[in-house]
Amino acid sequence: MARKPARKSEGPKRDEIHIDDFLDNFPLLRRLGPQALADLRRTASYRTLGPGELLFRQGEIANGMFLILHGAVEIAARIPGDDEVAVSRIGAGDLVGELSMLDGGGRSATARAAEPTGAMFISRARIRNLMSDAGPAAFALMGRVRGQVAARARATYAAIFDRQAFDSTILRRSASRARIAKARQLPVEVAALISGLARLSALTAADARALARSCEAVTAAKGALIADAGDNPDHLHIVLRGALRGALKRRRGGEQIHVHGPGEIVGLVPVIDGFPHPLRIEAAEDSLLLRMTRRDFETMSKGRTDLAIAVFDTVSRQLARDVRRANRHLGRAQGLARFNEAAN
Amino acid sequence: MCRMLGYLGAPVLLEDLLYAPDSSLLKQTTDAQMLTMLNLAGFGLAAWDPGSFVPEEPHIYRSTQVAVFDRNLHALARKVRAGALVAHLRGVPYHAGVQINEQNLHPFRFDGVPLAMAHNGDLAGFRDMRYDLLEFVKPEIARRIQGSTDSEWLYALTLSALEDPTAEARPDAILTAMTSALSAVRKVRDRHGIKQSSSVNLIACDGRNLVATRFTFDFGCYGDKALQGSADFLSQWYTLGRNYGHHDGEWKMTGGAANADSVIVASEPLTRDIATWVEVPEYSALVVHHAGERKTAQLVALDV
Repeated sequence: MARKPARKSEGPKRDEIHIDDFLDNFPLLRRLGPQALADLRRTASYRTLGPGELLFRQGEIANGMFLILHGAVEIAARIPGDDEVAVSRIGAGDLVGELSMLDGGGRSATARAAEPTGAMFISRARIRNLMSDAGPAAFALMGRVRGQVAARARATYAAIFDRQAFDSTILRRSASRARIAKARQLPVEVAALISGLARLSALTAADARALARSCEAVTAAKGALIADAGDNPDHLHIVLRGALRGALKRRRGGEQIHVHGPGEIVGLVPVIDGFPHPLRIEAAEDSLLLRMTRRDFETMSKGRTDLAIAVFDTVSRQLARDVRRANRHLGRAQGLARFNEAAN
Repeated sequence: MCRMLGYLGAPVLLEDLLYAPDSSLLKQTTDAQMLTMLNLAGFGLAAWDPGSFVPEEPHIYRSTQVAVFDRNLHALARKVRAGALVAHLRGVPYHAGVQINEQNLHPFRFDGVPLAMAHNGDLAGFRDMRYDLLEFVKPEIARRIQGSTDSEWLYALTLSALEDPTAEARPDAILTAMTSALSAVRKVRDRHGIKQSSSVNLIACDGRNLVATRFTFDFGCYGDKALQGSADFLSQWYTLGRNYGHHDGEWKMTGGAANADSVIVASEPLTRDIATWVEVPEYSALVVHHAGERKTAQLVALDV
């Protein structure tokens, strides 16, 4: 990398001292190595916030995430009715705004400092550059980001589950004893099916062939059980045709949270963090799926750099989409509950 | 492919719903955020204005003209304050085989029938199915079908399933009738071996109650055909609140869900900031009931 001329630091000198002090809290950053770290330190920008000051607003276009160096940030989201509900509190050593890191979408919530806070901004572009330079530590950092997002997904599912006030009219019974079977007699080559899906467009034709080779094509009749809540994360599935439903198990039925159509990857959260499936996954329609073992997924994620980045991008987008959807589901449930309570 | 809008609540000037927001229904003619097609095949609305003569009867306006150029519509929108509304922008494939005419505009509302309905979606193989659906349509309803759309038949199927289509029905009865319509379509699809993904998003309103569905037959099933356009489940969003107006630089309702008295349902949010909007879940219906002065909104799973 060519040497850039020395730049003025972007924040007051005391913040640079702060970040080095806090590196002990961020072993993952230290693993980036001295050159990458120097690069980050030089190009990252710092924000200092007083209590109540806004870090970012829900809906804003975002291009990176923040590492909280000291202090704490309150996350709140607007829900139907324009109420704002508190979501969580993020403290020193944690990441915030990481969802936009995965998909470049708008901010999913508003973040405000709860006390005097210092934060370091890491841009998406910067991390992608580090990854393209085949930086394993950059992959490790993004792996940590994905892990945190997966944990957020679980926390949201738990918050949804804890809501005992919901309409039973929204619950669905799982009827079927339908089974999954190995796909026979496919009309079109699997690689061609993969290439035809917009959601998987990050994959080249060669990537599609590699994916087709490492997966098993299976068919699932409508209602077939793919994985039950509490099952071990042995596989993930890619939908080629049809759709899968992810539902929270309630006593009287399933509360549908996700419907995954063609091109979507299903079962990511448990495959990423290794814990059991939080949701029951079943076929919402007669479906054609690619099934990949967890081990093959991990291998593919670490393999040749350009394939790994393509897979990473696709997986990241799916994970972010799932979390955004779960957040909206919670907001919807909260909004409807307030609307209806007031009428009674 | 169409975009549509339903409203139930405190009276609002039509211009504020149809024109004013940064992604208003009229702007969706050319700039829909969640659809890549233009919607050029005409416009229709049914708007219930409590201050009008015979307020149970809505204003009806229909025109095959491209809505953004329609001065009469704009003039009307500046005068009518509606407490209930169904509006629809028709979008069709771009070829001369499509019939652009007044009879094919939504919402459909037969004379003497309180219920109006609009449809966003497309039934695959409709030409093959159409006359088999007659089995599920009452003769006195069938004779009123004037157009060539699948949408009008969905309306006719729904009316046929109501005990008395000329009387106001309870919202759960409206939903039951809409579900019967979907069941009829499912039976005829099965009979003809039609397995292609077909969306049936509906908004139905009679001036006092509003029911919206978000449903697709065989979602994601395209056989081995290449996917054309989006593989997403056709969208249907809603928001609730009170005091619809221009707040904090944005057209929205405020006041919190607990104080809400109004609901907007639409193919996609009317504003680019979608923080206060949320999707009707896939394979579900949103039913807005009047409970005296107040309203309640319920989500119901649809399994057809």
